[in-house]
Amino acid sequence: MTPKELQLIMLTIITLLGVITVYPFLEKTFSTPRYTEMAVLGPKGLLGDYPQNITVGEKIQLSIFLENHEQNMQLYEVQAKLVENYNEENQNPPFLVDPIASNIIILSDSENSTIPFNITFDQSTKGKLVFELNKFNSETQSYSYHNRWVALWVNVTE
Amino acid sequence: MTKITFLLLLILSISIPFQVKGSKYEDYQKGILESYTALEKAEKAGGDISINIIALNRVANLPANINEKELDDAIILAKDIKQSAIKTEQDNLLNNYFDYARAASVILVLGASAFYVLKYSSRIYYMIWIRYRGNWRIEKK
Repeated sequence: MTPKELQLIMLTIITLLGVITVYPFLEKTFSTPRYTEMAVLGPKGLLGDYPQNITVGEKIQLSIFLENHEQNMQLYEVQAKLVENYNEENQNPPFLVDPIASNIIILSDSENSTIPFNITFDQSTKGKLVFELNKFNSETQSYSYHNRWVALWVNVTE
Repeated sequence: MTKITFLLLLILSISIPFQVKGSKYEDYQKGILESYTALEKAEKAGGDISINIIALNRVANLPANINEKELDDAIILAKDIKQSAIKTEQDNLLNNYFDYARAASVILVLGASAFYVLKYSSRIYYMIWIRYRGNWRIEKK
């Protein structure tokens, strides 16, 4: 072994020790993408079997599944909206209609939950029952649309 | 005029409890959001807030037609959660400062070691070489 080789080995060990020390602080910079999973579940708590032909006054039970992969805690708001005469070409969320139901939930990172929605329609209608996901922003102290939505076609008759 | 005044007073007296409850419901919603903001800060500071999240979730989804006593209880609970979160954040901020100081001192030591290695590695090498190669002595002439 030459003096240069010894120098190289010692500097390598010192560099490795330095990387191990600073890695926890750099971990978040190279972390995986952040996202939120969202799905609508039917009356049995499963994907599918969604009610489509509904009568006025009938209570329909749906659930919204959320899973947080945003690397930190989040406050979510799910709003249910009925969009009548839905047209895919010119209607994009967030829809400018009043919500018919709304729920909020706080999830830690990697936590999931199911939010129940019991919805009753007072009059006959046809359209898309949309569930929009909003996220709370502590800096602005307000909710903003989080680019996540799920929807079901509904046909409410007398 | 008297009848109109009486009617107005009657309507006002009936609506006041609803207005008070309405503003209380706003206080409740505001309290939930403030508690959440405090929990976020505590989480960033590295505190364990899992129990507080469960408690806030229970309080956060009360229906709009609950009675005033339950609303008052919810407002008080939200404030307690906020105070708990602030305390957790303060407790953990100090730990974070120690972590940063520890990391900085380790990097300082490693930097000094690297400088020492660069400057004196040849001397270190030959000191080890001489020790293990046998009876080497420097003779003065």
